[in-house]
Order: sequence, then structure tokens, then C-alpha cells
Amino acid sequence: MNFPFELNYSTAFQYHPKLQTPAAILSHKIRDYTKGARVNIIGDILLDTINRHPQFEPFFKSSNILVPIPKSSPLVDGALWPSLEFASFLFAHGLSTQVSRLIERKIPIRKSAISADRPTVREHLPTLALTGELLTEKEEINITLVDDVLTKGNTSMACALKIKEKYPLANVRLFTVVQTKSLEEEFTSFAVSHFNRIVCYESLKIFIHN
Amino acid sequence: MYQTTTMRITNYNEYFSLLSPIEKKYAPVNLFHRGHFHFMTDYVKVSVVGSRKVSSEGAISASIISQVLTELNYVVVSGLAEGVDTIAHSEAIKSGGKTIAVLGTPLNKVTPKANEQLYSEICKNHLAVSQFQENSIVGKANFPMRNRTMALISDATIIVEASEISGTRHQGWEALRLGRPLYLLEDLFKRNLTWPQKMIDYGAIRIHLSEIKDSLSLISQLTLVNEFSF
Repeated sequence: MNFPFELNYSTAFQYHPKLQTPAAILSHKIRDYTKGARVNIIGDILLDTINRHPQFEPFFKSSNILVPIPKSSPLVDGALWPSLEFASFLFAHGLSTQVSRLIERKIPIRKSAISADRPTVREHLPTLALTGELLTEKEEINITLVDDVLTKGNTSMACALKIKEKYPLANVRLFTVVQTKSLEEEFTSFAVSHFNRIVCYESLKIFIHN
Repeated sequence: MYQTTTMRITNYNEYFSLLSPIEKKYAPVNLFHRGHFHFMTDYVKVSVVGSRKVSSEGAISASIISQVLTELNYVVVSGLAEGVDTIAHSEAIKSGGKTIAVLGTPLNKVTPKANEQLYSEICKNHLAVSQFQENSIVGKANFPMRNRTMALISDATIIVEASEISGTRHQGWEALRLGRPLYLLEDLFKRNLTWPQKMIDYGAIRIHLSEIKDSLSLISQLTLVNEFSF
């Protein structure tokens, strides 16, 4: 693994957790619909957003494999897995030819969303496992990790590193439906997409470029 | 950039039609109600559940939790049974809050008899729901079904106190399956029970009474609501 490792990411929407302006409150609803995987409510605007921005293209090339990011604990049978719901939705609308449940959470970890002390990349890594093999005959493997909400990026980066361990030549990117924007004093709309990168250093500390 | 319109859900048929496939798996086909249906869709709802034979500590905990949820303007959901349920409903009402009773019996058959007055108040000024047709026979299977329905309509579930074989466990597992936060009160872990740790392994959150307000103030509204569509 070569460090620093850069994970390019894109996000369709944003939300502000603290502000109580009308725009911020609407963004809370977007976050809630996302965490509840309500694709029947926000699916259309998600597709519209992706189709309108050429910068999303590298994330949804037809050759890309969508890999949902696991939740913070193993799943009970038939459980809701928002990342998988969104990956499946995007696949059903022609934005990929394959969804692969490549990564699973084998050991529970404290939840990022409620921890003041979020798990680090180093803490995430031993709790994740790759399941089986990627089914592809292509020499160039393009993977888009799919997640519901991006905040600090520790979960996503740990998943990317796990994939790169087994598939060092794979191109790995990250797409999330919503990005948390808690530092912005002015928040105009949830409907703002972002394209940037998360950098991981050899110490496994990361920095998310916003 | 996006036009927004308010989506109003006025009855259970509309509610059911908007459920996801995962939610529909155990969702009742019918949900009869008495009282204010909009409690289902206009507020964050948190289930407070546990033993019928509740200890004095559990009773105090249930009462405090209900008060805290009312302060947060959340609706307290419970099952109208003796013990934790009765305390949860009563405290919500006493504190000026709102409550939903999810019955394991039809709406025209209330148990226990001791809760008739409480039930009457809930029907008049709050909301009572049941998936069971009026006059239908009450069987043992009603209660696990009711517990899953409570998990479905709640944005989170708090288990206050329960035994090794308590039916409350059905609600816990269903909350986890639906991806709703499940909180297990600290005292459960002092009781030599096997299921709390199993639920923790699948994402349940161990919580101290003093942490309830801070933790619950951050929960997402994951159930269907009268909100904007795009």
C-alpha cells in the first residue's frame, strides 16, 4: 500500500446538523430520508442530481462495481442496510452493472453517528472483512463504495484500504448520498454536490478535503 | 432548485402504501385507530417498553424517560400493558405530552381492566391503534405481532426492564431489523440476562438513564412523516 493514499469522493447532497434555518431544517429531512433509505421519496432527485453533473461520471461508469459500506454492526437477517438500498437503486437505474456485498462488518464497533469519539480508521480495520471474490473478468477493476452519510470519512477510508489490500490495482472511489457540513456558517440549500478527496497517511490518520 | 410539496398521510392505507419492502414484511395490513392519527406522522415517536411486573427502580426509570421524551416534544409509544407501559403512558399524559397506545387486543377489548380510564383518555386526547379487528379473539400470537408494529411506527425503542423470556425482545429485534435505534437501559446488564449482549452485538446501544436526553435529542425521524416530497 502506497501512502499517502487518496480516495476521491462525491456527494449528492449536504446537510447541516446544527443550524435551524429553513434550508438547514429541510436538509435534516434529506438526511432522515437517506438514513431511512427512502429511495421512493428522494430517488428521483438523486438521479436528477447525478445526471446533471458530469463530475459524477467516473463514479458511475457502466464498468463500475458498486460496493455498499457496512453499518457499524453485523446485520440481523433481512435488516435494513441503507447503503445497499441506494446501491441497488442506482444499479436498477443503469448507473452500474453490478452491486457487490464485498465488505461486511464482522465485529460491531461504536456508532460513528453518535460517538463524540468517532472510531478511527485503525479501529475500523480489524472489524471489517472481505466476503468472497469480486465477480469480474475485466482487468481494470473500478469500484465505487456507496454510503448514506459522509462526515469524517473514517469508515469509508477503512473500507477502501481493506479493498486495496486484496485488490491493489483496483481504482476505488466513494459516493455518498449526503455529506455533513457542520462548520459552515451559511447554509443555502441541501441541493449542493461536492467532489473532493480524503487523504490517508501512513499513520492511518486521515484528512478530508472539503 | 427543487419544488417542494407537502405530502399528507391521513390514514393507514396511505401510510402502508409508502412503506419500504423491508418495513412491509411484518407491517399489519390494517391498523384501526381511535384518536389523533396525525400523532403517527407529525412527531418523533419513541417506544418505552418493558416488564409488566416492573421493579421500583424500573418504574422510576420509565417515569423519568417518559418525562424526558415529553420535554423533547416526542410522542411516547407503548403497549397499554401493566407495569412499564402504564407508567410510560401515564407520565407522558401527566407531563402534558402525547402518547400512542399500540394494543395487542382489538380497540373494543381493553386489558388490563385497570387501564380502562387511561385507555379512555388516550382515545379521546391521544391515539390508540390496533391491527386486530373489533371482536376478534385475542391469542398469544397477538402480542409479538403488536410488538413488531410498535417497532415499525417508532423512530427508536427504549427497553427499560425485561426478563429473559419477555415478549419485549420481539420489539428489540424488530427495531434492529428496521434499522431503528434500540436503547437498552444499563440496569438490564446487571440482571444475568443473555439477550441484551446479543442485541448489542447487532447494534443496540447500552445507555444510562442520565444519557437519555442527550442521546435521544439527536435521533433521526426514520418513520414516515407528513413532510416534503420533491
